[in-house]
Amino acid sequence: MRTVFYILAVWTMTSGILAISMRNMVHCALALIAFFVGIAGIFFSLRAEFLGAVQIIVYVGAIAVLILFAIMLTRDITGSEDISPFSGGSVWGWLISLVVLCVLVYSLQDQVTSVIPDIPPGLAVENIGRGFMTRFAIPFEVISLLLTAALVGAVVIALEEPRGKAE
Amino acid sequence: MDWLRNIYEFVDQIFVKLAGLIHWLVHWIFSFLGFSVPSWMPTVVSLLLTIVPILVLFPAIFAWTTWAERKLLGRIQNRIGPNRVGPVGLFQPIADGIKTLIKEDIVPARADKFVHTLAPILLVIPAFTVLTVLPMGRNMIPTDLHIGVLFFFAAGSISEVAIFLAGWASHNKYSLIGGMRAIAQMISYEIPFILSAVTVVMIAGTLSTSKIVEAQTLHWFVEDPEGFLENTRRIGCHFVNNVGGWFVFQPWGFFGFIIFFISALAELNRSPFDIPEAESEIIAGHHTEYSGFKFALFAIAEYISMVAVCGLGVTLFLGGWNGPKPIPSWAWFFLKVFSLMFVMIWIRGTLPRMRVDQLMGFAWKFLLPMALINIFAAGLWHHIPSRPIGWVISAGLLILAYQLLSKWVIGKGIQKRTYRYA
Repeated sequence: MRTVFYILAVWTMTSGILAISMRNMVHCALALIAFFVGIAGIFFSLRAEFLGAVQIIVYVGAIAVLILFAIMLTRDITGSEDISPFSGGSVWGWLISLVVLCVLVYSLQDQVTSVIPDIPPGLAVENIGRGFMTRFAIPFEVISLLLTAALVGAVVIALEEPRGKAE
Repeated sequence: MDWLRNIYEFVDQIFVKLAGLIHWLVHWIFSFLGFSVPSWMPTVVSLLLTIVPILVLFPAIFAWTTWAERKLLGRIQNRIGPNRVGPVGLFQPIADGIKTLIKEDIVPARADKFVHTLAPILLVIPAFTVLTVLPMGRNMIPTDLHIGVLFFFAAGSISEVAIFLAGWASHNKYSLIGGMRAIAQMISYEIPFILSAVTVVMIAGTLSTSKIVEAQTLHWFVEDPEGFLENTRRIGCHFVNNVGGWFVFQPWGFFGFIIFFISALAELNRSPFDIPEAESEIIAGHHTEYSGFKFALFAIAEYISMVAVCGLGVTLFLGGWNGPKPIPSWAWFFLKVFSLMFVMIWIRGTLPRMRVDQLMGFAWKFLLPMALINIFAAGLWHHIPSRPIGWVISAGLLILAYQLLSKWVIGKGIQKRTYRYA
């Protein structure tokens, strides 16, 4: 189990570092996809298989595609501009990231446990579903409303102006 | 008739027994040579026994599916198809394979070499990975994941990214447009695809593919298994038990299967949804700039995904490996998968291509509401206490929804066709 975690950790961290330091933006997005897959692998190794699969569906299948489209539509379409992570005022970015890292490590150091809860695998999915329908029903409905609003907003933004109507 | 039952059991489980034999053989070789068997050996042997047959069998299925497709399309189009290379053209895939291996591998000068090479590889990986969650026979599933169906969709969403990267990396405007259209189509049709599978998961109560197949076996009239029933009644009950439980015979299963099949055709970019790779539209879309073996990898990914998606359709709706006795369970599975692939090839030869706005309208305005109403009808079917009335009510709801939606989407309805002669 430790070796699995070490392999996944090395994969995740390498792709994370590559995602911020490569010169071609689309290569950065690809490294981000590898990062998401690494996180999904960590979920699988912690026996949270549902979360791992949903991570791949949502992050790799939807958010990474969104990021790729955003890169293409807002920059040079071939993505061949060179951007460097060490340019200009990036020292403030590095400083802020370091501060955030220290705060996170400090606040999580009492929560780290190396015991994987011993839930039979099928029960985990069932618990999530039952939780959504009973105890967390209201947050579930609120999230659905939020997603619907986002969808309608996206359609409205992309809608063409109807011609022939005054203004 | 016990000996007949024993023969059936043996043939049905022959691959499981073969795997056991190989385990025993490895153990025996180790102990014969005097080494003690290391503790990781059974795990490694099981892994190899799972992976190697898949890697051997499914590329062979891919090769002869290309042959079958060319022959069948030829017959539908009133011509013969390949008949030079082997007895009926049977060695054509081997000739094609050699051809793709010796072709020059052209990468456009300003293309992104790394992504250009990565995209077909990234496309083939999910195609093979999802084959591991399909139950190919009784006790014959390569990996029995508890989230089998969800894993299938997760791996499927990686192939969308791969197609877009293929289109983008070629540095060609037609590839880019083809890649964007492909991804728009795949994302739009992924929703009815997943929602129709959600119906089955909801009724079966589990995401595990092997349990979904087991949920499609009925257990009627088993009160007298080896008693004094007449043969016909026993055979009839056996038939009903193994065939009547398939989800496709329920109204939500029938509509769900049709929605699943149509969305699967669109996910695979196959006719009539092959706008992204149509030669008369956009040269070849996202695989314009690929030659040689990378193009063969695109074809491998498409056909193996076709097998995998047909396999999932068979598992979710057509009863998986269930089937009446004389034919073993693995034979039933592959029979059903090959029939579905035959239907896919048949549709390709018959229907004209859809325009891209018709395609999108069909997904969002028709298939998605139908899939949602299908979930609702499945819930009704499940909760109405008397099953026949529940069947009729949910069937009526679905037919009503179909009529209303089709009128709303098409508009005035299909008008009478007028012909003008020159």
